[in-house]
Amino acid sequence: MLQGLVTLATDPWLLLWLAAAVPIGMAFGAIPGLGGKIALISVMPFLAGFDLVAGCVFLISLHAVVHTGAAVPTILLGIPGTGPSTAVVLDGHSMARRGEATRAMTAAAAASAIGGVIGAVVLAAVAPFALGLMRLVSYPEIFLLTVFGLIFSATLSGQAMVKGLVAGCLGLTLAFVGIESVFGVQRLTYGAVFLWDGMDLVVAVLALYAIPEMMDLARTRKPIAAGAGYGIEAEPRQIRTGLIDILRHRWLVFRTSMIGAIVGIIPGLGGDVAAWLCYGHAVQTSRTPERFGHGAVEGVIGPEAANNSKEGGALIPTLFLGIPGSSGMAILLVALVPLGVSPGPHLALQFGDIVWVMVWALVLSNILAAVMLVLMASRLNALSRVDPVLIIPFVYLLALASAYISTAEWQFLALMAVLSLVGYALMRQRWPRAPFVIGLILGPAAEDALIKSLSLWGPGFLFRPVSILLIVFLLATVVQLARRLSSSSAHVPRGHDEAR
Amino acid sequence: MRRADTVLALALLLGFGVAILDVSGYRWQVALGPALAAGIGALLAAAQVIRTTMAPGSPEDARPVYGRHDLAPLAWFLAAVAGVLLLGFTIGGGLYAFLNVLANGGGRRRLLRAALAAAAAVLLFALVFETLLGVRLYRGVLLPG
Repeated sequence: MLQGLVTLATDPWLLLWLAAAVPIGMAFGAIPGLGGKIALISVMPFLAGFDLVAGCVFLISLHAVVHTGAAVPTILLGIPGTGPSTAVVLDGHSMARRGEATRAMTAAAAASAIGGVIGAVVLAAVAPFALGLMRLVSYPEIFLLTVFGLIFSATLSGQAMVKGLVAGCLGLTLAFVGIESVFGVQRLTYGAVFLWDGMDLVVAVLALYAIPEMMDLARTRKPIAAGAGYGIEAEPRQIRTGLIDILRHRWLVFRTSMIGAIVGIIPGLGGDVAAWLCYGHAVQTSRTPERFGHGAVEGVIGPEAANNSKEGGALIPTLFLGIPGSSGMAILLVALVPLGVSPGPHLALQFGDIVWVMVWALVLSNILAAVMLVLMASRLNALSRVDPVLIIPFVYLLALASAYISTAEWQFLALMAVLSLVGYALMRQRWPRAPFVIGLILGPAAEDALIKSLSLWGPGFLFRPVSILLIVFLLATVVQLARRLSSSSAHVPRGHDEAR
Repeated sequence: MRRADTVLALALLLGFGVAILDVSGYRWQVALGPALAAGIGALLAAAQVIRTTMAPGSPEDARPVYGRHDLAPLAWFLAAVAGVLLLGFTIGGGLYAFLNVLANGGGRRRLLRAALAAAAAVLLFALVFETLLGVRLYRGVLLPG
């Protein structure tokens, strides 16, 4: 394992490729709609001349830091850079509107770095037992985890629980739009061919968050951080506070990193689920859960740590078993082919040394990305003080571009306009929007796992030992969280906690 | 505020109803997920309608919530969508950025700011997306190719 570090540290070319990959990966994360998959696809044509180790280091470093870069538009503009960043929008952008974008970005960067390192440690520690661990989790457990996420989203809504549940059901219903995967039946498409592939998450999230936030900014005509009381001189203090936040919530960072890495190991769950589960964990373990959605730094730290630690976890099935844990990992495997790597269960045995170099590249790239983001945070925060007239048209256009890049169908631009009206109405009426996104993300995974569980075990799937344990644990946590939220919301002014 | 809440809940109730009608003809494996989601959503939306209708009124409810200040941002966003759909990202986006900054910006230099915004939009889409990233963006229905 240490040989991997020696190989990486003693070869200046490898370090150079790592250093080059980090800003490129961050840039792909920072441009909404691009993300890790497009980053990998975009660099594939240039990999032909790379030697095996350099190519692997470049690819893994590029892919690992995408979420760190995505924190920038997510926090500053309320536009999630990648899918999993949607969990950061709620509190990250609220912090920016309060003038604390630098603090949020610093906390996000540090949490991402620690998450990335812990993900790599988990990768190194768990790899020998990966197959056994994966056998413990099957469709019933995946179904229960997704159900937990859905129920949890409603409890997030505080006093507006009914509204939250309605929004969650709307997200779930829209998640079923498209061709059903097992029987190939069109559902809720009403003859529209462009809906065959389903509702695009990027389109929905931009329409629900980014566009309504900008419309609100246009309505008030004030900069994002207007009236925050923080000037340029407060930037170093914000960086310090962001780093102190990480120290203060060190156990949250550790726990969410572990959860993220474990979710990453389970094929099919992905980064969106990891981020929202960890957001939920942050709310659940907070002494003041009513602050979430209004700029709680833990709401940034939890999902950010999970976003990056998940990458380490997802590499376990990808590299050691030849099973890509997500579509991003599948593309990573494909990108390794021109370098002479044949994906499969023997990948780690064949290229053991290179795997450890990749693990160390994962660690170093995460640290480098965090340092870069902290150094740039103060300058980037200037965006939150710019006249909104100069920002709003670009956010609209970038959001539309993101939607088009993500779907390649112009009809989604019109659909985005319609959904933006719904998003604006939900925002102005203070209906929770987070349950909508959670429903949209978890819906397909929940349905797939439910149908497969019923087909394989019948209704008895709920009585598998691991399922029973999960049900008891999930019920206990949901009841506990609902009680704490209802008691704490009694101290919050009416309507205050309904705007998530 | 309360009336708007009722209208929103009713609109969502209608949407759930349409979804339930659509999936009612499918085999159970296909209909189970959407029927559950839309069914529960419809029940809860109906409960929300009843809740807001039955709740006692407050002075806050009598005040109009939406007005011109809501319509203008909505109209500008729809203009962005229309501009991109008609003329594509590079030309439509540039034109939209110019008009938006010109109309909403203040001060003597607003024409200059509008021109710079338009140039920035054109450069962003033509140079960064199309040339550097190799992403082919939508060209619009009015322009060939």
